[in-house]
Amino acid sequence: MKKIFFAALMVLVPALAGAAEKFDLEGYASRFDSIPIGVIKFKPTNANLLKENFPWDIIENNLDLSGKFGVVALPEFDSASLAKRGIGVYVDGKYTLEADGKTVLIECYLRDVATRSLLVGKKYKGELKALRNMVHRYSNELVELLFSDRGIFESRILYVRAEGARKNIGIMDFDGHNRARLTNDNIINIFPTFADKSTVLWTSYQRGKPDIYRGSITAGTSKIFIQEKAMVVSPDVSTIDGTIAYASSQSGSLNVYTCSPDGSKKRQLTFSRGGIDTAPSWSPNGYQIAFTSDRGGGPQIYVMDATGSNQRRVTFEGRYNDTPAWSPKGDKIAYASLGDNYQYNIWTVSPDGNDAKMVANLPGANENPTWSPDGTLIAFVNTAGGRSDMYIVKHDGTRLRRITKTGDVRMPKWSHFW
Amino acid sequence: MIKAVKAIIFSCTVIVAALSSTGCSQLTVLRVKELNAVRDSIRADQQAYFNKLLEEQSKLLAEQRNASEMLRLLRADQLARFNEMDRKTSAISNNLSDSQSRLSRLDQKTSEFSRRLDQKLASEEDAANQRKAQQDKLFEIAMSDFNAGRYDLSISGFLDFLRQFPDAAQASDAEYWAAESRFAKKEYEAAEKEYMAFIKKYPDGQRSCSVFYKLGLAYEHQDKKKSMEMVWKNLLQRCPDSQEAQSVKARMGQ
Repeated sequence: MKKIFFAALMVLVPALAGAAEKFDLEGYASRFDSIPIGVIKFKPTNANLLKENFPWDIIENNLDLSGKFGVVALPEFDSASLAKRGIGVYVDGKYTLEADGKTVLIECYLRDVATRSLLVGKKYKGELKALRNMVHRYSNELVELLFSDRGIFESRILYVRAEGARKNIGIMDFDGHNRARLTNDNIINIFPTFADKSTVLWTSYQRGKPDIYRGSITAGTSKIFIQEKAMVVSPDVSTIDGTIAYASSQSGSLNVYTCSPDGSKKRQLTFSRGGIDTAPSWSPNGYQIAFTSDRGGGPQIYVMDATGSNQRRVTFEGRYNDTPAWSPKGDKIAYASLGDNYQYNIWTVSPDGNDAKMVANLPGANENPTWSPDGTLIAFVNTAGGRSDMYIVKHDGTRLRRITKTGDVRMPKWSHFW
Repeated sequence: MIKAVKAIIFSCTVIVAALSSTGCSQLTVLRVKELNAVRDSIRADQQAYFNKLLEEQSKLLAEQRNASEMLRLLRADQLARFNEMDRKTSAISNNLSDSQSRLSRLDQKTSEFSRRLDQKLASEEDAANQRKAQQDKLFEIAMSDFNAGRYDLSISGFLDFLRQFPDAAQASDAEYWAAESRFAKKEYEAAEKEYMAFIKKYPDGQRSCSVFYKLGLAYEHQDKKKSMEMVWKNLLQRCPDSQEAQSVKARMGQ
């Protein structure tokens, strides 16, 4: 994948520090769970107009999807309209598309609604095709400024692109844009996961049975990584030390194993006989693993130490619970649950088995939950009428948003903060 | 009767006056004598009537006085009775009022007692609830620190929990997770001590298989092979069907 470059040019705050002091940005931000903010259409500085990827639209969409903002978009600044909605700050800006149509400069300003004074300003310059990345960077900086937290706008999502019988691995920005293929085979490639920022592991049927492959996002290369006579599926990588958990039928039944980042030091953690232990998901501290097991009858979510000890069941509701995903904050495990209505919905539960609650129940099947790197959002796939698309919902079940409309998205896996 | 006598006297006087005025003197003298006799007779009758009337009147007056006296006595008696009744009614009324007052005071005391009892129960329940909520929160925070990999905080959190709530239901969990935090932090010597203490305290506890296994791992990390083998051998005897026993067998190549 070709790299694209842009640069954040300068921070305008120092020149206008006096204005920033007048508006208590921290105090304003601390008053809300969801900060009210206005986004005003940027103005061009010359006659060259953008035809797509309008920065103000991207900012509006980013802030809305994050679940951290209540966004109002306006074509022009209108203090009465903003103040009426209780909005204290807004973003406006301008852009300069150079005559060659390849380079763009954007200037983004966070201002106080009452005085229109500048609180924080940033300039970014780069290739036009990097425009979305520039705006994502600015959105991250806004979140950092207002929440003292890292923004998720530069995070990416791996997914399985369903093309009939073919299943290939793809990658997209968190907002569903900037999609790219990582594999392009006539076979089945499934269960993608990030090994690090630029490396992906997934299960491929390249050799006629499932093995785990490793590929480079940037170089587009791939090679077999865990190869056994048995089937090897569902890799997940610890963000602490890179240890890989996966499921293998090496022992005759599908069980959970771990191995070192280089594939050595394989260790069996579960010992089901005739049953299925699969779909491991690391806790963010790298000390525990959630997994699916049918040892109690139907598939349920279990948790164990990464040594295989202290295995305990954490879900007790639902006929069939699968695909656990441990929150990056460590406090919740999301999973897909087949309820009494024979429909899969997305649920969360605490690692101690308490507080199980449903967070998404769109018509159709809701499956494969995956957490945003900041642990506030859950992406999942909804399959209805033969089409599969990705949605995002806040961990408390609010602010459900549709991300893709192509109907071919399966098994999303959100990146971590690297 | 007096009116009738007066009317007769008046009629005789009118007749005498009429005869006198006619001028028949001889006859007149004779007639005057007769008339005087009649008059005297009438006067006597009149007097007798008067006397009788007076007598009757006296009798009537005496009867009236008797009747009045009787009436007075009756009224006095009635009054006395009424007064007595009044007094009794008043006494009853006072008693009633006193009873009501007592009842009211009793009611107040009962409701005050009831209120105090409710308050006491509520405050005891509140205090118990608050204490439970506080201990749950403390445990939850320590656990979330553990889950997020903040082991220093989780260790101090679990130890703080044990200091504050040594008899809580989660006390054994807190001890277990404190030891786990040490293990996760790779402080194997400290973890070993805490696992040992846990096994001594809860030898047949729900987590004993897991703790035996972890103790063996702590020994392994410290290169205490003999101790490790001894503990795991013990584990295989105590928990032969556990996942930990399977792990031990896999690790020891059995």
